[in-house]
Amino acid sequence: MWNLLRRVRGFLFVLFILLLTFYIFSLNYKRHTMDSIQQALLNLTVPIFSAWTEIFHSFQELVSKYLWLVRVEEENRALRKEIARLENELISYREAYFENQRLRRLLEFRNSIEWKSISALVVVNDLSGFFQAVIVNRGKQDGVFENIPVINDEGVVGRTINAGRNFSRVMLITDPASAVDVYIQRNRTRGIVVGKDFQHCALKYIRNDADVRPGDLLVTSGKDGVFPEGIKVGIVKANYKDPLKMFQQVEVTPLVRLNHIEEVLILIPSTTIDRDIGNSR
Amino acid sequence: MIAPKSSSVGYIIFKILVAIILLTFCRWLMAYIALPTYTRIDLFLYLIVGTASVLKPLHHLFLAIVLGYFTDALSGRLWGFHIATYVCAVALIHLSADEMEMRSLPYQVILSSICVAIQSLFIVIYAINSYESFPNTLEFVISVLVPRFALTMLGAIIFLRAISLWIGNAPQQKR
Repeated sequence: MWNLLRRVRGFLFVLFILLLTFYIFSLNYKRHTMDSIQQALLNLTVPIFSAWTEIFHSFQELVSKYLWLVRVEEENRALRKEIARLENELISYREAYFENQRLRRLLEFRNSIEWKSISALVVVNDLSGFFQAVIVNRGKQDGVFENIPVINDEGVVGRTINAGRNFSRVMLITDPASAVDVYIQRNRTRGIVVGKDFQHCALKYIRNDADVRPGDLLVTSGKDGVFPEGIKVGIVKANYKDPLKMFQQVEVTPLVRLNHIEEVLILIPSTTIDRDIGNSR
Repeated sequence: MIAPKSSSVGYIIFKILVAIILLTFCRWLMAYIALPTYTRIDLFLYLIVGTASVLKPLHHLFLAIVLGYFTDALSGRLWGFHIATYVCAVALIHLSADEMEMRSLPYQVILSSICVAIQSLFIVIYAINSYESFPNTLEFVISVLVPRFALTMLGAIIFLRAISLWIGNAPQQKR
């Protein structure tokens, strides 16, 4: 038996390499789930990465809490003023919200999807820097699957590209493979925000005659089937019009500081309801 | 942790494991503090080049596949990108092993640079073919890949020296 194995070991080695190559390249097409090897690897390494993150986070907190106390009083005063201003603003927005609800009911607006949000921690960033992806500590057992919107308090972070049992991969909006359907909030001009160069985004398919200005806020349109409507995406940094081209070039700065995300919210679509239509009947 | 005796294979494995943990930490730190893409040099490539003299070709190939898979798994995209680069490095090293001195620093620096050039070529081809929105390729090459290549060469001098000091003292395995 051993003699036979020794004789065919060269063949077995080549076979093993071929199978391995086939497996590795097949992963490029198996996008929706993480297989058991990846999950085992992540289960093994994520605690280490989490520990490092925890240590650095504690260190940063220590620095910000104790060494920068000098600025706190001044900042406190400024924040109080800001709160007072925002409270006033909130009252007017609340009014607008109730008005909007009334109008929706009048128009029998179909509110089709309800979103359940779960918080997640970013446990690993892509080490190479070439792929704008992070791994978060929520997976299928929390109801996460592929193509689910991921946001934080600043705006759109990205969407999940695949999910394992305990972890999911999130593609950030700066990745050139990412695309988000958006509106320019000021004039409802619609376009698509795509990742540009791993750090910035571009707004595509905006006609040359469309009114786009630097500083315009982009919000999700909800028409791409992934993101709900009205989440902040980015701000127009600059736009260039080439008379020979149909569309203008628009540079976008994402609102989320993607380099420093630690916590995110995963929005899971839960139920499809026709609440307003049901009410109107 | 107690290191195994210096005469054993376990000693080499122990040293390589420590090096992997330290290099992973450095790479994690570069990602955590969000260094720009061109500064995130591939430290595992140095480990692959630096361990050539102490590992048998098969063991070296195994190390290349494991490290490549690990890096690819964290990216989750373009599977095989890192594995292919590291396996290329192993192949280049062992194919030229009879003619070249594996422990020579200039040779190791050149080898690392060749591998990074191969890696850059891979990424450019991938980006052009996969991303419709990919900006000017020349701009990407000049702003990201060329500085990364230069930093890899500079980093090679520091990291390969450190790796060879750490691992190079380990007994060489019989071929």
